[in-house]
Amino acid sequence: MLKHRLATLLAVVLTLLLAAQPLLGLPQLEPPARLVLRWATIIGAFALILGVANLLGHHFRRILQREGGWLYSSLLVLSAVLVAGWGLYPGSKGAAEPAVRWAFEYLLAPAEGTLLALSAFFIVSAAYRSLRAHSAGMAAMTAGAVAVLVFQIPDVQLSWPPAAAAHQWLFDVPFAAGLRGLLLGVALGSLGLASSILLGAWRPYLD
Amino acid sequence: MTLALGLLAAYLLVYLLHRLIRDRRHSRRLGPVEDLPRFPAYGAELGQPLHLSLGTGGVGGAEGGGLATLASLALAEGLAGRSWRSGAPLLISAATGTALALAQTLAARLSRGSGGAEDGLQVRLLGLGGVPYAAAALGRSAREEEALALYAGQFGPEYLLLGESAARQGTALYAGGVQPEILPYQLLTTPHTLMGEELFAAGAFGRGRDGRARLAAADWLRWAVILLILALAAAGL
Repeated sequence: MLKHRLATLLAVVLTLLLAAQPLLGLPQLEPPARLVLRWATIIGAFALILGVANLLGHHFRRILQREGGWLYSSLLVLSAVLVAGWGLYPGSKGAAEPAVRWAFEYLLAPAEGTLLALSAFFIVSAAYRSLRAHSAGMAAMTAGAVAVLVFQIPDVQLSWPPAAAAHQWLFDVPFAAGLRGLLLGVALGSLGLASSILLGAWRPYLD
Repeated sequence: MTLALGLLAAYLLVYLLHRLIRDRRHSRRLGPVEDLPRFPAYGAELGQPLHLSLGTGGVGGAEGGGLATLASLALAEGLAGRSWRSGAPLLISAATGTALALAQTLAARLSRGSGGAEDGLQVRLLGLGGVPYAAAALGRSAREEEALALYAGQFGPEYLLLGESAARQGTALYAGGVQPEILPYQLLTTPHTLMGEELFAAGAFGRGRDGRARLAAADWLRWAVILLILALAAAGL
């Protein structure tokens, strides 16, 4: 219980410190706030190691138990070991090591780009499926998207001059209103969540 | 200075409302969230896991996500507790180290409540970052059917791949997001999407009096802001 109380107290004090520094603008609070943020970065780095251990542990288990797709797991473990080895061996330049940079630039980035390139097909398929569902909201969203696309075409703006004004109106009035409403809601939700952590009503950091 | 005073006043208002309302019933309805409690029973009956994703963000500064990840964790917490009690297999996934640490803390809390048993409960880092996470989640869902996929928190454009694949496979799909540029993807692919403030409100469901008080306080505050905007507009400011 004492451990829980101490952890809660620490969380509340540090949250108050980090919230007070930009709000009150007191220069005296800046060094301790910066120190806390540095601690957070260090803890984040350790959490990353924990994450990599979790990932590798899962794939090692799959390889050992010969589960479906274990060959892919072997490839993942091998790639992770090779890239980490290149970046960590004595005398290596870390992330600036040419072999590591090569792996990122010529393997990882193109692979990610290829996957994201599928988005265009997926969005058309999703729009078609949602229109078939006869949902009024989806129809309005698709109509808005099509209107923006069409009104932006230079030929349309030349042949029908009000298109440019309509395009601008869509952005300035309905889209801006929706966006502001959404952001206002998110800000209020964030405030509620942050206050429940600050008041100790919700303690996600305790096991 | 004005902003600081305004935020302090808002915080005090939330705190006072929290104190005032915590003992009262709050009857706000939130469609998609009210459907969620039936899925643990489905999962237990079919032997299929419930996949609760904390998104691709974390809670550290460099990882992004922040409060959206915490809101997603709050939502997952209520559902995970219910799933755990009903015996449904459960997967909590993350894409950053800090989100994984929070998920593991939640798993430790659940397993401690059941005497340390961890059968059927998995906490996994599927991939580091958005696209690797999406690739791993796609591969996973192709191999194993899921009773529910709940993707809430911060996502990038890779959500489109996740959402559309799950929709094509017929998985019960729920999403929650706060980013205006990603919400259209979520709305297009996911029939049950919690938008913006709804994601934060959803986390309050199933959290007892404190959750209800937080929800009610946020609702009252929202009305106060709406009235303030209307008053300012009427005054021509």
